[in-house]
Amino acid sequence: MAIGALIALAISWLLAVAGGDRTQQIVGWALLAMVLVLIVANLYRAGLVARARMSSARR
Amino acid sequence: MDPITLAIHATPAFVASAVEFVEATTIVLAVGVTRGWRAPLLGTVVATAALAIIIGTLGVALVTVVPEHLLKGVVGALLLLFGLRWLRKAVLRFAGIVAIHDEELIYLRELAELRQQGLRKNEFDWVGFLVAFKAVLLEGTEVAFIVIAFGAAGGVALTSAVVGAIVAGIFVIGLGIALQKPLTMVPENWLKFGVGAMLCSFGVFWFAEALGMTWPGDALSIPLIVVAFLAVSWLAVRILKALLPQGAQIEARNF
Repeated sequence: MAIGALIALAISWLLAVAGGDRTQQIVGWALLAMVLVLIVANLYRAGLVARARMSSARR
Repeated sequence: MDPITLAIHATPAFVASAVEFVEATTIVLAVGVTRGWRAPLLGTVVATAALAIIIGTLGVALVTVVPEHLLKGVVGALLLLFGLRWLRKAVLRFAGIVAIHDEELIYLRELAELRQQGLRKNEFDWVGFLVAFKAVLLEGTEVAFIVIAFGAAGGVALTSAVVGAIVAGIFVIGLGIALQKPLTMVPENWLKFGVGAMLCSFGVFWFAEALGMTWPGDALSIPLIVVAFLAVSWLAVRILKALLPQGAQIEARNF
């Protein structure tokens, strides 16, 4: 999760530096979207891992 | 500033600091009840003094040396990382993948450990002192971080953050004194869930501001961001619950 968040922050920074004024004004929404996707993806993966661990423990 | 505006601005710092104060107070209570109050109270006072010196030194340096946008960027990134950790843990707890944080269990464990170590009469209780000192210093540093983070904008924000933290401290410590037992009545996971969402929201808000963005309605965007974090996190809880088979949540807690 932390690595994903750092990548999202770095992408936002690059967008703000490389893009123009218009890009700078949407960088916050882009960061928010990336972090929200990251939360769902990371937790979904954690769920899959937990399910796999439970299946192997039952065997 | 009128009291209502102050209360609204101070709420995030109040809630976030309350979580830290609950943890520190639980430990000091456990030490005090089992080993006597002198050493843990002294440990608490010394830790508070050490904390005041650290904040006094770093606080001045932060204001005079570091440019505002850089401070906002760094603090925003830290808040986001810190908040995501809390939010993730709270979601996993709600979904049953990680056991709910049980203050009573921690309290009983502290009691058992301290009783096992024993204590001779007329001897200064260094163990009690150090346990309380460590807990207060660590949690206090987190409170300081919260205050600096929420008050980074200076002026009203800083005043509100300081007021929020002080009121949280008085409230939780008062509650601890009144109850003299672990603060199990505070639903910690709900607090962590809400605080995690708030920390993430402020993190995104400040980091974007540091990059030069102007949010529509300025601070009025923050509640919208908080709602987005809460909604997506709750969606994650639902997904996780659907993903795990019936009864698996209880089984998962044994891992």
